[in-house]
Amino acid sequence: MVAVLEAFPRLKALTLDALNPGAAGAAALAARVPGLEELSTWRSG
Amino acid sequence: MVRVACSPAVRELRSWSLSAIPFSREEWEAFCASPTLGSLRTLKLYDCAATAAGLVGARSLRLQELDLWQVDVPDDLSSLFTAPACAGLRKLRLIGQDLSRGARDAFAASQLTELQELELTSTRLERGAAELLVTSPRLTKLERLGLTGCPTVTDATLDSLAASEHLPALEVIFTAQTPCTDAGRERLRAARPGLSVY
Repeated sequence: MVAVLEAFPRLKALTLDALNPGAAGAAALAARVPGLEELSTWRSG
Repeated sequence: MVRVACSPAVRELRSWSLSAIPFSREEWEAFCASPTLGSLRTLKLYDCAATAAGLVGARSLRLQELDLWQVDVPDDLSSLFTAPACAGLRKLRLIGQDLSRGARDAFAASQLTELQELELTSTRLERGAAELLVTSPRLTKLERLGLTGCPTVTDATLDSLAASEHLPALEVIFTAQTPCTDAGRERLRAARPGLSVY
C-alpha cells in the first residue's frame, strides 16, 4: 500500500477494498497523499 | 479504519463512503469524535455496524450530505434531526429505514433548514409524519422529496401539500409504489403547476 501511495502522491480520490490500512497505512496516507479529498472504504477493518 | 479517521491523512477529506465496515461500538464512537474530520462534508454509510446515534454527539463534523443505508437510526430520532453535525445538511438519504416511531417528533423538531434533498424511498414512516413533513415551515429550500414505496404516504399527504404554503422551493416529489392515487396526484399538480409529481 505504501509503494502504491508513493507512486501517486497527487491522489485526490482513493478506494480501499478489503484492506486494513492499520497504523502504517494511516501514516502512509498522511505522508504520501496529503491532499486526499475522497475516500471509499469497503470491507476494510 | 479508526486510525485513519483520527490521523492527519483525512484533514482535507471532503467525502468518505464506508461500506460493510465491522465497527465495534468503541471504534464507531472514536470515528465520530475524530478531531481531524473537520473538512468532511459528505458521509455515506452502507451496511456498517454503526449507529447514527454516534453522529449526534460529534463535535467536529459539519456535514452537508449524509447517506445512511442499513445503519441503525437512534431511538430518539429527533436527536439526529437537531444534531450540530447535521445542521448544515443539504442532502439526507434514509432509504429503507424503519422510522415508524419518532418520525413525527423528529420532523416537528427538525433544524435541517438547509435541506435541498430528502430521500426516504422504501422507508417505513410513522403514520401522519409525511403530512407534517410536507407542511413544515422550516424546509424552505427543499427541492426534491423522495417518498417512493412509503406505505403511509397517501392522498392525504398530497392534499396536505396542495393546501400548504410551505416547501416553496419544491420542484419534484416521488410517490410511486405508495397508496397514492392518480386522482390525488392530479389534484396536487393542479394546486402546484410548477411541481413535478411522479
